Amino acid sequence: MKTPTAEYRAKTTDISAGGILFHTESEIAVGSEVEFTIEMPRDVLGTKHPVLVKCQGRVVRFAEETSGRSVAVVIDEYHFERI
Amino acid sequence: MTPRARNGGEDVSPASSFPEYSLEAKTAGIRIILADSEAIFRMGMARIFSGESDLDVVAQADTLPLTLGAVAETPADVILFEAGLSATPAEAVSEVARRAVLPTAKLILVTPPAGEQETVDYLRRGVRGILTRTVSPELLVRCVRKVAAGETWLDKQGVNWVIQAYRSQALQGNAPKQQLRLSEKEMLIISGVTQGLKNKDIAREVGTTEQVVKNYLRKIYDKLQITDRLELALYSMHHRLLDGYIPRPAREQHQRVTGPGEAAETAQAAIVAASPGSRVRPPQAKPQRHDSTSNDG
Repeated sequence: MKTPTAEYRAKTTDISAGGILFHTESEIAVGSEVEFTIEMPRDVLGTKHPVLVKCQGRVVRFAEETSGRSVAVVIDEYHFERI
Repeated sequence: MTPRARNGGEDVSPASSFPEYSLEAKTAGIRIILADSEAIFRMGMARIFSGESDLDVVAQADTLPLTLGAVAETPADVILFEAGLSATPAEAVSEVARRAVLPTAKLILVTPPAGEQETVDYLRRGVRGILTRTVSPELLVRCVRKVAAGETWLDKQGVNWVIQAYRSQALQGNAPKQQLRLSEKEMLIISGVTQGLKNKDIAREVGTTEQVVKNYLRKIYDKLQITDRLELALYSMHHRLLDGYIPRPAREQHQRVTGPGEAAETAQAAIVAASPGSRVRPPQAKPQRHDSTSNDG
């Protein structure tokens, strides 16, 4: 996941059309613009090839939890890319 | 029609005197109506049953109309119905079951080996047992007794088919209803969207215009109650919308032409995989966003 100033490693924990919840080790400020790419695996999608969805969005929530840090991102813009 | 008293194989009349069934037969055993177009089989079965004290043939018929008349007038516990009596045996068994005097009458179908769909269809229409003409006398008798007792008589393959049919039905019941109403063309378009194709590419593949694809997409969105192609892709993932869907050969051809060339352009950003275990929530209210895939194609 990239912001204009840094790049973070994050793990998807929940995904919907409204947004994505990531677990990350880093702190990311609410309101930060982020870019990330969702890979939709072919076996889950039922297609011959995996598909990438390149997304741009904003951090709308950041929380410190016992299991780690979670970042909720809303998707503002996206486009599909074929692998 | 010439009703004729008889009970057991010894009293079976020749084929020329059909229909033959008894309204007078009184029995405490299993009352059977034999409906078979071939006298030799009908007589053979009647003879087999005559050797069993609890089995009584109360009527016989060699045509569908006579069978319908017999079952409507003669109380029977079991009706042995040969599929060859009708060009559409599935519909015929429904009619036989519907006209039977006793609602508890059990239908056994004598048929050439039936396929999966036929077998399941027969059972759905009320058939309780399926036999072929090659059944042994012992199994025939056992079949009648079991079916009369309320059990179902199928060979192992038939049992597997029925179980599979129930499983499929259960899965369908859990699937969203809208999925059932998606047409082949809509599925093709969904498949194109989930593969990252642009509207223009999908239009070329489907053999239509981009505007028509947009119209189809709007219809799909309405049906699935979603608003854009990202939701559609997520919906497809969550509901396994494309499981078992086989795209047309044209799609594969298209992928060979355009697929590999686009691969190098991807994966520049950090990739966060939506793993199969990811929980996908139903679509929520969300702000307007831009889908460049649909617009730049």
